[in-house]
Amino acid sequence: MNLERMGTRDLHLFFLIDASDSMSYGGKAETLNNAIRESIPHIREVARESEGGIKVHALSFSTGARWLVNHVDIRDFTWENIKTKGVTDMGRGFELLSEKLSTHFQGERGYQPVMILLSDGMPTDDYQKGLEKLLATRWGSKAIRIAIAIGSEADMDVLQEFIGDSFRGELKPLLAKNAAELKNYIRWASTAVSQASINPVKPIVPVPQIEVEGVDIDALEW
Amino acid sequence: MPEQLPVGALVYTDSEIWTVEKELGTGGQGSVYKVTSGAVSGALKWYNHQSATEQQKEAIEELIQLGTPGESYIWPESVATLKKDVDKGDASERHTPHGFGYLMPLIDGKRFTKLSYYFSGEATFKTEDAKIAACLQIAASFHALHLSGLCYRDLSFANLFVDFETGEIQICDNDNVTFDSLASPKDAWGTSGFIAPEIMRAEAPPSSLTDLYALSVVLFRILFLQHPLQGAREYAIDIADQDSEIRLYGTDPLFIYDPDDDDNRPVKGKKDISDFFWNRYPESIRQLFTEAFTRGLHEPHERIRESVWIEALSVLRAQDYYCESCGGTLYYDLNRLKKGERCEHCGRSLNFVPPRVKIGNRVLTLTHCRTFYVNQIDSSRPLAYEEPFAQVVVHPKYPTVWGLKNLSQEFWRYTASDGTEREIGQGQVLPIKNDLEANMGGTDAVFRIGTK
Ligand SMILES: [Zn+2]
Repeated sequence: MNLERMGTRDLHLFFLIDASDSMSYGGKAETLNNAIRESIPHIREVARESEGGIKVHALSFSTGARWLVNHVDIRDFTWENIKTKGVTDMGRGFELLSEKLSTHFQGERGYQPVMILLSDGMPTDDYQKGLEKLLATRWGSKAIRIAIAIGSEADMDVLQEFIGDSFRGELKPLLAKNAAELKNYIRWASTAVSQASINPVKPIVPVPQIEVEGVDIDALEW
Repeated sequence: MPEQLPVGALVYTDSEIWTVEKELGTGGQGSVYKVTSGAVSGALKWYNHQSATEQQKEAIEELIQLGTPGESYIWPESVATLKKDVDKGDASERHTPHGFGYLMPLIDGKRFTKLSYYFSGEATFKTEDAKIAACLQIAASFHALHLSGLCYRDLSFANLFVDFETGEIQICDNDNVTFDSLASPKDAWGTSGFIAPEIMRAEAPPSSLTDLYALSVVLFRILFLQHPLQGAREYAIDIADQDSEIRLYGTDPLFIYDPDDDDNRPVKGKKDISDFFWNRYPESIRQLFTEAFTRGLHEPHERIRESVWIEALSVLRAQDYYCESCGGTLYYDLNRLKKGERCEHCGRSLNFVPPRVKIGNRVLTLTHCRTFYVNQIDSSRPLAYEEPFAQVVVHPKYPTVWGLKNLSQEFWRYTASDGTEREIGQGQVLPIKNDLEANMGGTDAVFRIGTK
């Protein structure tokens, strides 16, 4: 008896991270690093309870785009701090992802992949061209695409375009106005949305709203 | 209202104040916390905003009133709120959005593990008997629930906890239990793979009949690991989504071992783990599952009832023996022996017929540690699966001489070698010989010793 022959399918979880210069201000990068690390045990728990594993992939885009994490089982996944520098080549990030999906994912079986886009600004390159390429791949088009705006400078329209009609058109970009919200959203996107992909007949768990005591949210600047 | 409770938060039940110690998990409707009140620990489920409805609160209150259907249920004990006075004011005040939850017993995490972990290989039953015992308890628990007029709605591996040493089980997430009278398919609920086809097709609401479907899936998966509908058709899907699930489990379901249609067989070498187990269980068990996933897929009223599972699993529990060559657990199946099939553990041919007792058309094996229960012997009492009836004992001086100790209150009768009629009362031992015929409390039995 060999458990491999269960023939289970994996969930592929993609982080697409803005590592442009502006992310280094106001502790955004640090919060993001922290939030992803804090999510890991919770993602692991989702994986333990589901059939098949969760594989993590992460890329960052700034001036150009690069892979940070490639096809790592969540059980072995650790997160290195992102390095911020340069502009916001989001389109290049989409392109890099689409290249991987159209090559490495041929013949792969899985749940609907979950893609989490995190950005604090406006794309500086032709993001639409990259997005078209991404959505032209089978795995890109079938993905549940989540977008999180880090602070109010992010371009919500671009983020909404990325989401498109994924998950029955029920999703909107999330605006994280502070560190607590960002952590909250990243945890939700990586766990509740992963669960929704693995168990597509259940409704997606709503994003939990949080209040931070003693903090005037409107006075916060990011 | 807070969505999540911070550590140290206080919640109130009728008679106690509880302190939140830590989060144990988060699900679709809220989070579960470990809470303490003095030296007492409990578990608190706290609903998220969307689920904290007045309707849900009334449902919980009703379940608390009804009381638990059985020992294995982690049943709601009392409603918990953030402010003690919430329920004391006039009726309109009850709608203040403070949120609520309920207290329930804390599962002993040292003993009980989520059944989900069995399928990742993280947890495994210590013995074959513990595995069958777990199946039996799950069937018996749902039998009790359905007898109380309730249905569970969302049976899956996430809400079953198992003691993998003994097979004892605990059932949690009982706040979705409801009276078995839901009218609208809009009350649909469930976990992918456990949802009955008619719910997947949005034709029927959850009911005790759809629970029976989920039960058959749970039992099949514990015994055979693979999902009964996941064969070639599932393997061919590259990206599983809602549409593919509806086809696979709703509009186009097909059993992987359907005797008349081989379109959805396990995929050799890729997704065929059930092939390892399918033939090792006796024909009677295979037939029952075949019925469950052929007729039972399409005719909800023809699904296998819990009482039938309880009897069949009890009998199975008394049909195991050990391979002469490797000691692996085997199940008695005369057809397999006649065909000279090989042991699935060591590959040697099966040429040892174990000591056994024949009762009607039922053959039970005699192993040195066997306890027989009433429903294994007396087919007129199919639910008496916990009442001991007899026990195999080894003679203290002559280890090759076995006997059967009478644990029942009935007298057994047999004819000894000298021709005299003898009686065996409670606590006395019937000496086992080849071809011995005995009457055990009204049931005729014939014994055979092991042969090569
Ligand atoms: Zn063997």
